[in-house]
Amino acid sequence: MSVRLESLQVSLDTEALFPPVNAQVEAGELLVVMGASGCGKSSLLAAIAGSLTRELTAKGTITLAGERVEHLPMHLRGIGIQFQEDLLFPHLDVAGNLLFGLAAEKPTKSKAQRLELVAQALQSAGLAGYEKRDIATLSGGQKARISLLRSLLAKPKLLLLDEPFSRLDEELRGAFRAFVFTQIKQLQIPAILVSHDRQDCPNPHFYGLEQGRMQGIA
Amino acid sequence: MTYNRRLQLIFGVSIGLLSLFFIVLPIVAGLLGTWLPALGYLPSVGYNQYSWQPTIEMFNHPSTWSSIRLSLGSTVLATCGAFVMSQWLCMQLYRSRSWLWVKHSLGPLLAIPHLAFAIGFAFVIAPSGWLMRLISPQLSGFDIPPDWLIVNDNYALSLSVALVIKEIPFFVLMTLSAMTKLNVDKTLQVAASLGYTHNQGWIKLVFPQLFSSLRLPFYAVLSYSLSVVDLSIVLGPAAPSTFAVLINEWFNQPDLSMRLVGASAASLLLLLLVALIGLFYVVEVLITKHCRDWLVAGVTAKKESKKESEKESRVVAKFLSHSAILVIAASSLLAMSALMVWSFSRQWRFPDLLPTRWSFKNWQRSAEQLIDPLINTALIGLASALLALVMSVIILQWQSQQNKKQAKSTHWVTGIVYFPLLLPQISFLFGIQIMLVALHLEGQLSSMIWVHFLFVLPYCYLSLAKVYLAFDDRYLQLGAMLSQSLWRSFWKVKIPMLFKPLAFSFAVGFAVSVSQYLPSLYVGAGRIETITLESVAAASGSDLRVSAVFAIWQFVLPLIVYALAIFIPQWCFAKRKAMN
Amino acid sequence: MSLFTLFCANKKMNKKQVSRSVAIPTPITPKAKKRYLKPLLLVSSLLSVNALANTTPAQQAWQDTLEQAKNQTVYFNAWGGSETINDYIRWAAKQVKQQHQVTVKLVKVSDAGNVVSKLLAEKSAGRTSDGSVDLMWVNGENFKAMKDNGLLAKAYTQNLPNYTLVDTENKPSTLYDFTTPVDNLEAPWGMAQLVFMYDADRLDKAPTDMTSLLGTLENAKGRFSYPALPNFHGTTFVKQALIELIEDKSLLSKPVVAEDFAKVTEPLWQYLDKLHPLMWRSGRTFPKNAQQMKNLLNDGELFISLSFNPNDASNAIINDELPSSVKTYVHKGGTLGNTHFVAVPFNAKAAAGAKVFANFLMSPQAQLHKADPNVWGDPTVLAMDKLSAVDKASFAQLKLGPATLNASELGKVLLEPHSSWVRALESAWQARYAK
Repeated sequence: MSVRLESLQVSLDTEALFPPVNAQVEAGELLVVMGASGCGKSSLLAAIAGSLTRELTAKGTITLAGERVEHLPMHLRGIGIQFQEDLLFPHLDVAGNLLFGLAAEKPTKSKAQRLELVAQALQSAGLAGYEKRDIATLSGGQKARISLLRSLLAKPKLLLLDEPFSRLDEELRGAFRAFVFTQIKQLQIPAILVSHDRQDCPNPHFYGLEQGRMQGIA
Repeated sequence: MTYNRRLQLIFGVSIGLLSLFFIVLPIVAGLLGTWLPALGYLPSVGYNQYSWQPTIEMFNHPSTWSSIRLSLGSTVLATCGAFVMSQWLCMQLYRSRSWLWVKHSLGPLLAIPHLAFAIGFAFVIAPSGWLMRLISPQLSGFDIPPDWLIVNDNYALSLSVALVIKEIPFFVLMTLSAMTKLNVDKTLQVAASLGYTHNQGWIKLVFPQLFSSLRLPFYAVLSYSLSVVDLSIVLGPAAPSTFAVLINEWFNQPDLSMRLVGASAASLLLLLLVALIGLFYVVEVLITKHCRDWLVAGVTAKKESKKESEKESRVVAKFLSHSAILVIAASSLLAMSALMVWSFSRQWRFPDLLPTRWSFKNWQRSAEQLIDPLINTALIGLASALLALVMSVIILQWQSQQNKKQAKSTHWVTGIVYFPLLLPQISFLFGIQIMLVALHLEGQLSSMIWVHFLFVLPYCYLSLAKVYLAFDDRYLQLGAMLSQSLWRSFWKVKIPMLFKPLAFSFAVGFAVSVSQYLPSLYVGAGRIETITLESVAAASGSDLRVSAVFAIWQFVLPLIVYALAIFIPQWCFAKRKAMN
Repeated sequence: MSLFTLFCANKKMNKKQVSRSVAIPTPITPKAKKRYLKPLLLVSSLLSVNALANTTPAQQAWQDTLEQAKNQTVYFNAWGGSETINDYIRWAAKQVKQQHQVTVKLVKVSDAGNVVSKLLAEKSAGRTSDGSVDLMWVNGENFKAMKDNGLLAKAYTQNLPNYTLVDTENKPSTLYDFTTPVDNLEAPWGMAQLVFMYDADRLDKAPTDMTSLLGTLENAKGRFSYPALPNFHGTTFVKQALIELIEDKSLLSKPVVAEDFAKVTEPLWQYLDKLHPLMWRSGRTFPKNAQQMKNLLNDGELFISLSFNPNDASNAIINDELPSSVKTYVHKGGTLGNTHFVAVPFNAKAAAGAKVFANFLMSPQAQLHKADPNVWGDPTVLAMDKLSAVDKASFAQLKLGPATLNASELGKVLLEPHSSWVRALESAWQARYAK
């Protein structure tokens, strides 16, 4: 499983927000995209996910696991996305949130089997037994982890991370970062992370969106 | 074309077609069916020639001018009064201890139908009414009621007061819904940090942002007050009556040529409304222009002594605002209790505070008679509110997917939705009736549901739009990506998260449907009895004991739906803190 | 007493009437017999048996109508402001359901004008059959408007068996509805006469005419009013005043002459100018209708009210709507009277059913029930000398209500002025008092 972006560009009216993006991310790898705020990082992710607002247009190709997806609507692309906010569904409990992503993937699985998967996922995040908890009663760090679990349980072919750490305080941030990176490795999916914070980059190189090329961490 | 755009196009076209066939064309037909007779053309009665005769006759009628003056006066007074009061109350009470209480009392207050309120209110304030009985004969010395002109006064003041009391809760509701869009708390904090008082911050920062959302409700109340018939009959002056009542009289005169005069007066009423709205728009523009400097003039330095007096005036304002709320709540409560007592009375004369003989007969009788009307009312109300809610959601979902530039291009839909709200009912119902009769559709449940839908839709839309459009659609996107289905995400994420406002909007729609009088009268062809038709028929006989029973039923139905709309979401999400 | 002897006795007593009213074809179901053991009904039931023996073409036509009417639903549009009246209509509906399998649905309207409007809209739309109104309660101006505009079905009352019982000789208003010839287009239903009601606890002596009303009000300022025109009762009060005050009363039966109108009505306006300052709220506002005046009378806001039903006060006393101290009075020169009718519109869907119901409303059974002050107390349109002895006796046995005047006390019935006076008086009144 890998993702390849070729000459991907987002423009407002006719003006491109950034130079064309060409990049390839392999399974289990993390591509970090950096840029100052307002340079179009979130728009890049939206273009990949297929959720661009209507004033913006995308150009270029997105190949996911050997398949072109740029013409597909967002819900058929098989991409997961993680925002700064957890965006957990407030009307469902923890298990409900996690099952929501699980449902489409494995419709044939029995309820007990699906609950078992949820329990395992929660365990892996150190949240065993949290199934019946109300979202509103969770701490910020717990919400962030459950939100990520939810994205991962849907078995996406690509995970997009839109500054997922910026809302968390210093202490939590490190732990959650580590959690995210391990999960990506373990599940062997490609991931693209956008950020303006160099600490978010575990790799020696990152992609400079304004420059339009890979750069090393100085 | 991308998937999204195709979806949007399908949405847009279907909304366009739906609104064309179910809203625009019927209303245009209704207007033409009124305008042509206004110009002397009504072949069925033998008027085949266009002429100004009906218009001339209308202006020659002795009551026309004073009647128009009365209507304009009471309309402007009631609308401005209710608007200013409601804004002042919001400003004074926001974040105060009573704020939550105010919010909770909105539902029941809105559920009280205008007519029921008017009947009860008239009894409370009349010289032979409840307040006077409270102090008679001991305190007042009156064995017989004094001959004082309170209800039906010649300046339509009692009518205006009742309208003000009834419209304040509506304006407060609209203000609340407008407030969801902006962060009032933060705005006020910022203002405070810059040295503005609470009131200054509200007037200079919050209110200007709210106003754009309140313009339409303002015009709607203007239109309602100008064209209300049932309320004016009960509380308005009798000689002459308000213009809408006069028009209704003309439409119902035995002399059929008077229908042409009525049609031309109904058209004039529409013109008057357009003029009023235009006038208020100009006033708004002028005020905005002149206040721009004042808005940015900055904080005026305050002396210490002045600050003291400001504190005092704030205490006074608090007291006044609480009193105002109390008056609104008490008058509504008194009016409804008066009806309740009347409904159980057998003999009740001045100056007895309570009936001297009680009876269940009025209720027993209603139990046999009211089953059909109650079922009809509930059915029509539920169906029209549901349709209106679905239509509102379709439109809003479409609008929520538009970007800012395109959002402007969706204004035509909003315009169409609000059209029936701004148009005085009496100005096009005659034509609608002719149209339905021609199509053999009058007196059918489906036509009744449709015509109610017409008037319910704007209220559903109005009460839902702000919250719906403020919804963070990333939830919907996330849901779609997770479940790989937009439809599923819509039903399982967006709709449940918006369940509370959806239910409330449904209840508002239901209440609006229940209170419709003229549409039910003109479209029901008398074959579909509704509780409101029965109420007005009873009120025209004025046996208060029977009218009271009907009026209470008219109130109870929407109240039940309001209660359900509040409790069902609470019960569903009892364990979900963030949902409450 | 066997049914047969009763039948024979009746036949002997009034042969003519039997042959006329033969066509009331009440199917004699055991249930119906059990429920209505009144001799009246038995008679009419037996008569229908007789009808099968020898039928004339008219009888046959009526039989056909009855046949057609079976299982029809009649939408009867009537003013619904009085529960007493609504109850009576529901009672009548039950009877025709049992006797003729005709379902009658009462459509309550706040104004007969609304129904005329509706019919007009149907006519505008070219709906000449399948209309929404089958039968309506109407009289006066509304009838005239319908007649002038072709909103009525063909003349039909001459075919109704019970129409022969109507007192057309002594009750001319059954033939001339506010001076408009009825021409068999509407069936007489009840009689009305303007009466006044006063609270004897609060007023020693009732006025005897318009002039003495002024004197009474000098001592009871603000305790009388009348509904603002064009309300029916308001118009009637002004017409009554005009009749009492105009010099040449013969003008009233003729159409208004516009040039002379101001001059001949001058005494009326002078009178009203004097009356209004003495009235309720000094004449600055008026009650909505006669029903509201009843409430005001109950509370003592008014001492004098008016009604078109001579039994109204009694009925209201029985209902506890008014105190027992309320009495009825009329003016010494007589008061206005008229008849109210039921009419079938031009496009009625269930015309046969409507006719059957109209016929039932004129039957001795229905008229007797209606005249009972405990029920409605509306005076009958029937001629006593045309009724069977049994029916006649039943009418004679009706007790007068506590506040009802007897026939001689009710005095002379004055005929309505020509209908053109109504518009003229209304606009002149509005120009003066509703400007």
